[in-house]
Amino acid sequence: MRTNKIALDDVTEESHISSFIVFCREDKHQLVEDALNAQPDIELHGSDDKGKFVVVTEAKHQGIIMDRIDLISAIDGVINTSLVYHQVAAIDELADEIEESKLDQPIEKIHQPELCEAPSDNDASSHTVQ
Amino acid sequence: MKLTRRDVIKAQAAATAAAVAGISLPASASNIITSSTANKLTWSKAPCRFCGTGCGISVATKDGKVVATHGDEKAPVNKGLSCVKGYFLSKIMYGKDRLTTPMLRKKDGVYNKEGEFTPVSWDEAFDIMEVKFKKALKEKGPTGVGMFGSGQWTVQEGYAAVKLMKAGFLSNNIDPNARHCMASAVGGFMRTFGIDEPMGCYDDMEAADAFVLWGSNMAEMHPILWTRIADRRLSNPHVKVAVLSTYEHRSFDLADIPAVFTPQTDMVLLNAIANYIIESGSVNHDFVNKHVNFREGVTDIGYGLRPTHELQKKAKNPNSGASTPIDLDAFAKFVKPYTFEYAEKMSGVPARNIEKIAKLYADPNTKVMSLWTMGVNQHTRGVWTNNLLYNIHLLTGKISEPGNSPFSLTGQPSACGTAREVGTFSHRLPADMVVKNPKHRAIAEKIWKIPAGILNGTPGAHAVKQVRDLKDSKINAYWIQVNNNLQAGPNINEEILPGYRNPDNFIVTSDAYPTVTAEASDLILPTAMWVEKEGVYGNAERRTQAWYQLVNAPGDARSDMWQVVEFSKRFTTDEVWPAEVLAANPEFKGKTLYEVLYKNGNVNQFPIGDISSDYENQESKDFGFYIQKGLFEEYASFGRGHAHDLADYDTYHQVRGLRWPVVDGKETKWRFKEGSDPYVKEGADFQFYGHKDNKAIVFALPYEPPAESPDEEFDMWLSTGRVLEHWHSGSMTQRVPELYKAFPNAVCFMHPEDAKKRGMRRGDEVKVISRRGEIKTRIETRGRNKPPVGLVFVPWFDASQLINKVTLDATCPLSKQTDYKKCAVKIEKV
Repeated sequence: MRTNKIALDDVTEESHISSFIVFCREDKHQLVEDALNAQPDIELHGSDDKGKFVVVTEAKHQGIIMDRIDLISAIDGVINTSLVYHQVAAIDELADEIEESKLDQPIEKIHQPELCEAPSDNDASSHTVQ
Repeated sequence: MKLTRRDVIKAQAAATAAAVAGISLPASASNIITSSTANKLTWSKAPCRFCGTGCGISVATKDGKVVATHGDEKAPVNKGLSCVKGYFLSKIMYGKDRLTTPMLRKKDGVYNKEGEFTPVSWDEAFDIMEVKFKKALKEKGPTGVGMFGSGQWTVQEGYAAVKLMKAGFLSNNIDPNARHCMASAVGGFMRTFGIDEPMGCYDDMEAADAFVLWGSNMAEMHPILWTRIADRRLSNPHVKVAVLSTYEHRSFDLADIPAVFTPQTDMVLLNAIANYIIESGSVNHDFVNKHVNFREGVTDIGYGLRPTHELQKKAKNPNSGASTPIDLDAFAKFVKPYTFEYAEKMSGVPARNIEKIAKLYADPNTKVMSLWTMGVNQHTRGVWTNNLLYNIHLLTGKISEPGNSPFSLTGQPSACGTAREVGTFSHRLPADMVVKNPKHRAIAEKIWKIPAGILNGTPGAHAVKQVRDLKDSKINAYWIQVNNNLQAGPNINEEILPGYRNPDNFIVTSDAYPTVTAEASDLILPTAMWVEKEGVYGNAERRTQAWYQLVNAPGDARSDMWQVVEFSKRFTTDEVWPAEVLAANPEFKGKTLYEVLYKNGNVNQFPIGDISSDYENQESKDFGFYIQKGLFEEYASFGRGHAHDLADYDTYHQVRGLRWPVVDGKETKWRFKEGSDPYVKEGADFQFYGHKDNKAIVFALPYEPPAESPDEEFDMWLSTGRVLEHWHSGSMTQRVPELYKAFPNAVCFMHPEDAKKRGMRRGDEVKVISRRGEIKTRIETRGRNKPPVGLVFVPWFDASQLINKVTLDATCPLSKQTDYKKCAVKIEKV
């Protein structure tokens, strides 16, 4: 009888883009921000100046993303790293340019999850993005 | 500005996280604009596939595959966050060894128990199953067949299976693996309250002043709920967290009061707290007088082992749950010997720390939430320990109000919704009813439209007994769905494997992956999982959540529900129902079980046109009616008007779940409390309506020792449990490479002093040996789990190490739930 086989699918034609929220103590905000900026492959997309950061990263394998989360969690002052978004995409599509003529919609419009009910007017996913 | 698709996806990822964090992105980021075709994804909602927390996940599909997920910011449970497991949900369905066709053991072109697994068609798979199930039914009657399911069944899957077994084959030999994780919790609820499941909800986490973890490691097992508790603790300095466990783990990071206790002595600690509440004058007499009865339970009830086992023969009252009425004074006398000094001696927890915990409960101004899972439930006195936990909340009246909440957590996504509420246990029927009660059977017969008096009133074989019955050739045809019992079950060497490989038996396993259980079977059925089918789950706070089928399953994989319903077409009533019943009810003669159970006018009453046109629905299209809705609505009719009310099916597709009872469209956050529970009568204040006299019961129950304790030869306690990255037995998560990487092989966590005493070092290969078996593993003296001297901890997800060869199949005699948390072992160098 063989045991559980581990399927290590080393997908190289795919790329993983993900975002997470880094929480730190308020008094360490600047130190953590500097440490995040110093990390390669980590994009800091925003913060609230009180200990919360929005971070985006891309990697060929999710395992690499896990490693980066570990590195961030190890920064002095970081309490927690929460995962939010994850998308897998074909790597050769990612460099496609988007035609300018189609650039007609603000980002918050495309992030209306097409859920089964009508999104309410004060939907958290749209009003906080300015 | 030139933008790439990469920029668009990153902007979307950032915008989603910013929304969850409640912060604004700088203008430069929000200036990114694009057409909606640049990253066109279809988003839908689904509850997470993994644990019992019930997080809401937004799931995106593209070209028939799940490509993106994020925590659903509108889900009240997780508010946009997800844990490591949920984060990679899009990968669990795409492991390379996913099963796509039925596989039958064959030799020379025909079925052979010793043959090799060979791909076959569904027809051929059902042909051999039909032969074997009919043979077993003919030779042994209803007890000759059995089914083992799980709390990962959707509501509809569990319900369809219960109908096939109990109403079709007239066999109560159906049990969920939830028997191994929840049965003691159920037993505790039924005994204390007369009705199952927590009275409170997750909202308690934002209202409590103190949290006490009884054996639970929430930081790793319930990370999203732990985030809510950590938020409460860190933003409110007066809040206290007490963490009790048999070894130190990650939840201790947040503990204001840490306590490592000797296995089984949680019972001593609970009685000591009850004693303190009484002696310090902290009993809420008004509440107790109005709402509480006292009873003393019988003792010396054995360990749920085979009746021939020596320990079982020694017990005075084996398996007895009997009790007699007493009063508060008698209860006070009963717990009087449980002083802090005695509790310190027994548990090893310093008296001053026990006092600190006791004061959290005794202080009328501290709202306290108790939380527990397997540490309390996988316990040879599991039901008792649940009772003792309710005791301290009832003595103080700290129950059914925001923040005052004894809360039994669950491990599986629908342990509550399916295993418990649908009643997939060998003794139960839907809505807390039981097969033993003739009135309950009559209700089920009426709703199911089957002949009166036909249901079997004798409880069937529970999980552990099923395994014993397979070994003893009493069950000969056996069907396992959504679980990995050969890895998860106890004492696999002596009990489980011999039963599966017994030449008299035919074993069928339905799974998405070739687990060890599947590979020890005779027929493997490929199974659709999670959003490859439409379904409903019910989480630990009574929240019922539905999702649509979002993608098709690969190859010939089909849902568990489709398999059960399709198989029912192979049987006619004449083959499985008694001739006298058919003579008295000739309209049923010659019909298939499919017609009687599923085309019965209820289950098939909703046309395919009722299905949302935006979604696929493989099973309904096959059967020709909206089967998920039909099964749900028939099932829901059991509970409506009986304190288990569910909303109508379509509502659940619109909302992020509702907590039952749902009456007049309103969910219930706190049961048994006037004003929040519609079933409580006006002026009652509290009403524990599960019992006829509307009172809950405080039970006088003593500490009794475990089935096995360390001795001279087997000198260490062994405790088993999980790690975050591997949910349960790992058959899904080990296929996600990044989860596998995070915790590649099980290790034996040991105190450095114990290692030193044995001349062992971190990383040494060792054998963990019990009286039943042994495994090889490696010593870990550092890391996330720190056992005290005298105890080792081995996580149980790794199929190559099968720690359950070593564990004992002792159970709680009342719930029949196995105690995986303690047995005696010795550790030797290889």
